[in-house]
Amino acid sequence: MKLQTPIYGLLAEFPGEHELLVASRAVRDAGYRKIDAYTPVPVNGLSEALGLQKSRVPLLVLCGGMIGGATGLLLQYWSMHIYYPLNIGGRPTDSWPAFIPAAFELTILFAAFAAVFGSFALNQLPQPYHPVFNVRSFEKVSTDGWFLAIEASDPRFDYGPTRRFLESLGPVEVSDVDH
Amino acid sequence: MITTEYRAQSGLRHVGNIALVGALVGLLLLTLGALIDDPEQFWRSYYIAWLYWTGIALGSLGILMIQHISGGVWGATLRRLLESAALTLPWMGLFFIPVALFGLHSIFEWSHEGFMVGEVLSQKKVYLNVPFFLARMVAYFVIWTALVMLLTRWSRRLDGTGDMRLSGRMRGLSAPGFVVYAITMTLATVDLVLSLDPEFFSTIWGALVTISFILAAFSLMIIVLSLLTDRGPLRPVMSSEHFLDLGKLMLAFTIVWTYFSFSQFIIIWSANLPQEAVWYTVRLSGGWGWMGLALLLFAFVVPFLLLLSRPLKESHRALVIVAGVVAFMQYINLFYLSVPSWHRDGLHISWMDFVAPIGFGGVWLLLFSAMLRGRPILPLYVLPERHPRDRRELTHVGN
Repeated sequence: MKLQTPIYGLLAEFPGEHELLVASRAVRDAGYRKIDAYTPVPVNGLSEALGLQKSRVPLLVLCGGMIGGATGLLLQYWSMHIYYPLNIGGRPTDSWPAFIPAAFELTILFAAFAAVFGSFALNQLPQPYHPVFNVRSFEKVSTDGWFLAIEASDPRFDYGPTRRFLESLGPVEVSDVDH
Repeated sequence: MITTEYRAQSGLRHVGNIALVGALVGLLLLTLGALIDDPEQFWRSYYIAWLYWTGIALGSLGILMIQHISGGVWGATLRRLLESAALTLPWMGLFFIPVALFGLHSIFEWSHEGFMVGEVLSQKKVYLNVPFFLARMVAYFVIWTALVMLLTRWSRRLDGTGDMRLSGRMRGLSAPGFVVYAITMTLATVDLVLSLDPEFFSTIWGALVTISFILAAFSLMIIVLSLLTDRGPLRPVMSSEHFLDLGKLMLAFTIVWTYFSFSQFIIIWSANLPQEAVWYTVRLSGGWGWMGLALLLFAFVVPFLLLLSRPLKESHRALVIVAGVVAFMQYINLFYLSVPSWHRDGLHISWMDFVAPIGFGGVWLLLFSAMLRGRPILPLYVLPERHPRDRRELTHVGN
């Protein structure tokens, strides 16, 4: 990867959920776009505060579910009715009620796969390295740290003013993030 | 914490007038039907309509206890409505007295001398006989009323004193209370609906009818909330996120109802035993079959697909239409479970089946708004007090 900026960006730690939300909104309103937040628990309204685009996961899940349901129905129809018709209790071989439970399960399975693997893919996971790991205090993100990062590649990023701006938002500390 | 009191009057005045007209006209026409048309049909229409609206009250009691146990933001704006709806239960119980005195023979085949004969039915007679049935009915209503009374009394005292231990007490009652609710509802729905066909049996029955009541009650509460938001006191409180939560729950209840309905069907269909299968044979042939198809489409497929959409759930004006369809279809569901047992040879709908639910709906809404009146429409204290996500909802108040 070509490194065009001397550092990856700036990382500010905030004391709590509410402060992070307020700061995110302020940073977004100041015109920064390459921003991201890191929190130990999901925060309601954070995506909106950061101005992230709407998640595409629901659409993936819907497609996964529909493909799963269709697969379940067609698989059973093909195997029970076309490929290997078997007389069960004298019922027609294309008895749809019998197909529903398995089709339902496959709908759930495929939808769940779409949700898990879809969000992995959209989040570019697994990702063993990320520049923010270089900041020592970032370890707290899995317990009680609330972080907001502005990337140096943002067009409005200007080290001195951006740092002062972040400091004005009441963070615990602001750290430089190396690549 | 809420310090402003919101009351319901301004939002529900129109509803009260419509309910009064509905109650008067509906019950008058229904009585006329008994006098000039067919007394037997009168009792049957009366009974189904009574059952539906009593079911709304029962469903509300169930949701109320679930809410006390689970907590959650969605319950804060719903609690007063659920309490008021559940408070109609003892009054709705009074409307069963005429049925008990004069209508039993028109409704329950098993109440006739000499019907419960044969190997199976004569054994069911130990349970299905008039004195024991009436004793059970009294017991159900006493138990349900006691639950409602305790929950609403403590809730009222909480408003006055702000003593949060009362919240814990309501939660403490709701957990065992819900077990009692599940048992009484299973028995009561078997007595009230399943026993219309004394030969049929189904172990999922209690859950199936209870979830139908809960779904209908939940949809109706969404409609009331939406009215109170549009033209009433909840406008500053309700946001699209609240309706999103309620829409999600309605979707979940819709799926549960479908799941239970299909579970009963698939087991009986695969076993294909004559004593059970005939219940579905009646309901899947001729006009009843079309009604079943309508149920599948409009009680499940259409609401399910619509409720998947997030923008729809966030807009209460759209959500309220879906809620109306769902609540109406649950009336059809109750009709479909009950009426074919009286008319096994084909679809049968009387004009009294239309006026009776309107009449009882009017009566129920009058009772409901009377219960709602005079109390703050939002509970003043809600658990958990401190979590920021809950506080966010409550900080809307008073802005």
